[in-house]
Amino acid sequence: MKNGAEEKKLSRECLISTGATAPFPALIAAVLGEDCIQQFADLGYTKLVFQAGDALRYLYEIKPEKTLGVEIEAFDFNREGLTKQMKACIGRAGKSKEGLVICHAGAGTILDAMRMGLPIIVVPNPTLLDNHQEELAQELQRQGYVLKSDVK
Amino acid sequence: MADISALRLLVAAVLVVVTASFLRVLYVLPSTSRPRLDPRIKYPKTGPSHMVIVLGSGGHTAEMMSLLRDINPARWAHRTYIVSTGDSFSAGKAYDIEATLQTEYVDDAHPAPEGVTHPVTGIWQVMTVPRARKIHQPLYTTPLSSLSCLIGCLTALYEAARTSTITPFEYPDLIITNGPATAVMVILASVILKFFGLAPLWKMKIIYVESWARVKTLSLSGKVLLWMGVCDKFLVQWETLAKEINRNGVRKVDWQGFLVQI
Repeated sequence: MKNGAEEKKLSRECLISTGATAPFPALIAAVLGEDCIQQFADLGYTKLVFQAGDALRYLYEIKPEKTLGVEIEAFDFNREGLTKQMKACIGRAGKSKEGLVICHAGAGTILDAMRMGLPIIVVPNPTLLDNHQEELAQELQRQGYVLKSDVK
Repeated sequence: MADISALRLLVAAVLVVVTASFLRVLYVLPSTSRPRLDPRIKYPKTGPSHMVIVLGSGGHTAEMMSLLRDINPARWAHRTYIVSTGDSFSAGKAYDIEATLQTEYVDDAHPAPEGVTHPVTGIWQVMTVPRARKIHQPLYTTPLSSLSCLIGCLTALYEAARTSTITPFEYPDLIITNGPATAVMVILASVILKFFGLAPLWKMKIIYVESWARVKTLSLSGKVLLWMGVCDKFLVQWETLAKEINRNGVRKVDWQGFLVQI
């Protein structure tokens, strides 16, 4: 079972970007929920990386103690963009399995993730008044580029 | 009787000015007139040209960077970036855009610095104009700050023409933008220059690219610019949006697929 042992060592990352300007604590809470962490652990994820914006402190407050071996990393905002974090989600033979990007419906983040060919789950922020992000998420789902979800 | 004839004269003068201005506007705006060409040159134009790029907030600027990825800096030998005060982020982004534009054309690892003419990639510069409206600024002071922004834009366009080393004393050939509030002011300034005959009608052609994030509705800047009919080319990136706007059979906007890099 050499193969199986090697597979266990593969890392699998998920990037969760909640938008730098408008905080989206509901998304952070949903991802850090018990069910969600369980799912990540079952699917072999080793690390969750959060861009939490102004909600970074909130994230540390609600961060669960038991994460079932899933490492949790967070930062507020990266001026350089999320290229580095997204590259870590790409599957590379012998090193990592293809991960996932979960993001608010910000065009920049979605475009970056699409360019890298990563699977994307878009969660529009319902507290934002302007609903054009919702429309973008809907159309992208219709054309099969992303999966749209919510925090309920 | 003298009073009445003075009044009549005034009314007549106002009517003449209003009518003449209206006709002048129809003559100047690209949406109500034929395309204007420079009589001195042969089209398609191949010589060095001057482009103005209006940058806005982070999202707009990132998208602009993607839109300009295939611009040949040897052809567009003069590139003027207009940013608003307090937006040091976008000013820094102008350098990043230049770095990507120039990589294939300069041997050095760094792009030619701002304001220095490079034998191949020409010259680029950043101009700063006052903000039209600051965040949290009281509404009643907005007309005043908008006016100061407009004057800033007029000055910037004039300075861009005056200091041009590629085409001296000629206004820029093209203004390209994707929707920050400053862009509306820059475009308005260009129309004013044309209205008063200070700039030829074949200069400062306007290309507006609506953000990729706009699927079903235009942004506020997009709505204002489309309503004013000031754009020579108005591009949207989603077919549904183009169909919705052009639904009455009038081709107001163009759709050419995604323009940002996917």
